[in-house]
Amino acid sequence: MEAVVLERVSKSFGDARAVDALDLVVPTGQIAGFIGPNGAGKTTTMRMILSILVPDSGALRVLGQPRATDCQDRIGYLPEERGLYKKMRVGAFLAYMARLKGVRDKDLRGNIERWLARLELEGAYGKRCEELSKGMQQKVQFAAAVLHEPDLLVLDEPFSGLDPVSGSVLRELVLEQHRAGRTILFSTHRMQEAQQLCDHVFMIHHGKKVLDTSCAALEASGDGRAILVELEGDAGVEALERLPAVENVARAGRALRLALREGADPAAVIREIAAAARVRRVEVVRASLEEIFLRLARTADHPGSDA
Amino acid sequence: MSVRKVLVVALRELVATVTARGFVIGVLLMPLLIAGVIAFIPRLIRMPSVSGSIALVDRSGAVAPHLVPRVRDVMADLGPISRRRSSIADPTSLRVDVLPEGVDVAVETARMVAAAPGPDARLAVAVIPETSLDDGTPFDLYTSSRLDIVLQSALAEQIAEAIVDARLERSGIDAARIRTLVKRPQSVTRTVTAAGTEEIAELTRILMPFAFMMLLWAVTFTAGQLLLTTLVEEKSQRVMEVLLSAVSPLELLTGKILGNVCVGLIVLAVYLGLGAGALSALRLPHVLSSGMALLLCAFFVVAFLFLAAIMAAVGSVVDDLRSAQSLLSPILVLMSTPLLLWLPIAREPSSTLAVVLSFVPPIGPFVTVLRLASPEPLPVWQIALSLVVGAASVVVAIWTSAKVFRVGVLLYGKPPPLRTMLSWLTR
Repeated sequence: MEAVVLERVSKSFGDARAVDALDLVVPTGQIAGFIGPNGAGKTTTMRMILSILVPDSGALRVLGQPRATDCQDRIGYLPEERGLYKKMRVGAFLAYMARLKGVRDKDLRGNIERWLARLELEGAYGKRCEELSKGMQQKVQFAAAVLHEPDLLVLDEPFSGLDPVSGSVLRELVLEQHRAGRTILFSTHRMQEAQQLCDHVFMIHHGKKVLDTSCAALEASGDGRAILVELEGDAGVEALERLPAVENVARAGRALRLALREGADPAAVIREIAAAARVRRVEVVRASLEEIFLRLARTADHPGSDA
Repeated sequence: MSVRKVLVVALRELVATVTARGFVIGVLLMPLLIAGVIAFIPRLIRMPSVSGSIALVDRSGAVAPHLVPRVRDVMADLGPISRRRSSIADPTSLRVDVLPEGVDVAVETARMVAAAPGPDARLAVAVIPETSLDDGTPFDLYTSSRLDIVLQSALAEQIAEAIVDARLERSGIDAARIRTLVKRPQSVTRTVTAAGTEEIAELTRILMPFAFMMLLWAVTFTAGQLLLTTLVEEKSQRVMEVLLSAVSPLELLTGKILGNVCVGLIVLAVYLGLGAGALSALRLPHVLSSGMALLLCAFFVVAFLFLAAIMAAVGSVVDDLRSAQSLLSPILVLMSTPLLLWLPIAREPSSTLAVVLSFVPPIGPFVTVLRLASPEPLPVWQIALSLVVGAASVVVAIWTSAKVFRVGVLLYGKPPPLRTMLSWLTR
């Protein structure tokens, strides 16, 4: 069963088309990454999934319902706009959000304190929200999103602004939610995060979907490979750049990373590299999601210029 | 719409508002403080209680017999508050010691300072000149610092009256008779209405309706302002989106309005309680009946719901209070109309203008309350119609507000133009 289904969903603000005929399917229990640059339409799509915004056209189903408002208590949401009542105490805020989501737990306070402890926010229960740092406030919002044990967790840029330690704690908690069987849809413009966490990725650009694939399929496909080359000396870089199958050459520490054009045969390219320069090491690597994204974005911006 | 979610939002709104320091100090403590000041300050500033005698040097030889009974009655003409403030708890204990004409006034006045407080203390020395019955020569009154200003002035008044009495007696005229003849009679105004004849002062007849309308107006706007403030705070603190993931815009709007209705009713109850106390002290308890209080609450709910709908719509499209105030200006001017028209409406509560304005939203509730508090009874159908029209206008206002609220609540930056907001109504 699918947790989220979007069929040709569109949304415009004035003359600006934020989301354009978007199709999307997130199966239940999957952790899906929604990637794209700032302004791609990720937040608008998420807001439509949550019924905060109404689509101009298209159909939408969330947890089997035509609107998220019919199943709000089964959804947890961490918005990109981090907002808390400044004067409200953390415990009171979390209790308020939990009650809005239908939690009638007699041990609500104990539950909140357990979550705060897991987020390394011991002692924050009685503090005013304004007394917390931005990162801590973000963790409090994450707690608000998961306290009611939702079936679907929608996280908009959940790791942005966090220090590496806090980011790692939150990543582990997201994975734990996934292991507990929850469906997770999270957006990010940092491709590395999506690669680390996701079963499936959607990529949108200018409101249009440009990639919709599982991470396993992405890795299994030959598409998007790159070759790592370490030269003996500096000579030969220009020769590598001129190779017809090479899209671009970038420094990767002491090595060079050659992104291959779509359809290029890595074995043939390795032979061409050996002929063009004195090589110490050659290694076929998979292109990062970031490289794939950049290529897809370029293709979308300048159709026919590539591929 | 989930009633549970509406109640959770309303409860938070109520608790957050009434526990805020600004609300407790500004809305609840301030009126209680003012009432406390009015009740207790006169007691605090009252002079220490004194007793003793007034020494009289009567060089005219005719004033003393008239002054002795007057001094016992020295406080008779004072009002209750002045009487309470006086340092003489029991004026009948005051004694007049008539001294020989030839005494040394300087020595006698010095005794006022020297004497210890107590029944034998000297509180004042009055010196009536020999010619005071002939040409109005001023008399001298020396008073102790222990004698308060109220009693000083009352004593001076009684001495002057005693001199007049002596003059009249010397002329062979009956002073008591003259005083009876020149006393100006007071009027007792009775207003005759369909409900009967009511004895009420003109001032009360005009001011009471205004006081009730002002109370309704002030409480409505206080609660409306509180709603607007929390809404703008939620927007500026970016809490709105997380709330809208848990409740629908209509549930949020309804919960916030409901919470603030309760806040307004608390404020209204506080002020009505104080008003009832003040009216009771002024011996006008009949002006605020329980029926009147209930109708006031009903009209508050209607007036507030309309204003709250407007406040919510405006609050949803702005990020700060300053922008909200400029958008609200036209509606504030419109809702202030009853303040400008109170005098003609209070004087002629059954005039065509008054009747028509009772049914014009959003000012109908204010005009009706103004008319309700006037002595002339209002036909029941007019009260009912005013409530029905008000309720209908509230339904339209909330429907409109919900449309604007739904879209506007996620907008940040410059408020959209009116034309854009109107286009949201058709969505």
